[in-house]
Amino acid sequence: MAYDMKAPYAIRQFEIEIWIPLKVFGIDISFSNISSAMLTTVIVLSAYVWLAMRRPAIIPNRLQASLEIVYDFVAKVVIDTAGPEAKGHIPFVFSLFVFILFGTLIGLTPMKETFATHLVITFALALLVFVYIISVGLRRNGTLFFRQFLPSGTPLWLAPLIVLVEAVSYLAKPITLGVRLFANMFAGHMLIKLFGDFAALMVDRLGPIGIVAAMAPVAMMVIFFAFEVIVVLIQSYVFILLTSVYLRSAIHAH
Amino acid sequence: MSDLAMKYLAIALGMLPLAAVALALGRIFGDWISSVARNPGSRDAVQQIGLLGFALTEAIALFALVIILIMMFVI
Repeated sequence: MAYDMKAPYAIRQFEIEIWIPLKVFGIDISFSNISSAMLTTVIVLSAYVWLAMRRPAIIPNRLQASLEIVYDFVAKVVIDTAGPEAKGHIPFVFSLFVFILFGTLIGLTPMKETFATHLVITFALALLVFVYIISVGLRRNGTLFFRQFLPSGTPLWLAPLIVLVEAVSYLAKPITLGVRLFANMFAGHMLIKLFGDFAALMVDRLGPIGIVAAMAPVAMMVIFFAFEVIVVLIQSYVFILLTSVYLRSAIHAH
Repeated sequence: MSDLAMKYLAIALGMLPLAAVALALGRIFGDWISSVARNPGSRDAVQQIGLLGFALTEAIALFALVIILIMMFVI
């Protein structure tokens, strides 16, 4: 098996393979390997939640207890950050959290794609959060929602500039939210597979010596894999934490 | 300078944010350690904020990485 230096796996892992070409009204909605990764996530997630809550008991069994730990964690983050009024939004944030967490964790299993390494997917998630938060803010505060673009006590002659700056910084939020998740997943997966490529290159070019020498990059790969698991947990947490922060600014617009 | 040289110079300049990120990460972990050392009871509270600060700071370096990759492979 010759190693192709022009197409390292670190880059090839992000390729999109179209499995079932589909076009509806000129919009490409083909079923690709990324769609399959998302479908797998949804199926695993639904099976987990269904199995855990099949027979809900006051004294939960282990599976139910594990789900309750996750739910309590999300509920604590939302209520601590966005206040008790945000209780109704816990299901939305919980869905986001488990979708990102399970998707990225499943993506860490061998031969499986991570959908969060694609900017389109993370932007879609961030845009969903943004649209949700604007609709929450508009429904709750009406036109008062736009008061947050003008901090109280601003001199009138500065108002146009402040409104412009605040609007731009508000519109940058979904971009940073999406890029943050994408960049973390992308860089982490690239790093892991780059060490795998080093090992493959050594074995390919150096023969028996290479097999011994390749142990060093493989050891690095293991370390970075463990690091990536932590990154996945932290990034899912950061995503819902920032969602809660934006929720607070939408609920308490002033 | 040729266009290719300018491109690689731009990529190298794009790595400058790493200096600021290194300073910020050192500050975060330094303050984290000293706050836990001063008040070991605050470990849990500090851990959450510290991890958040770490993730947000690390993201800056990764933004730079994304921009560098765009410069390398797209432009």
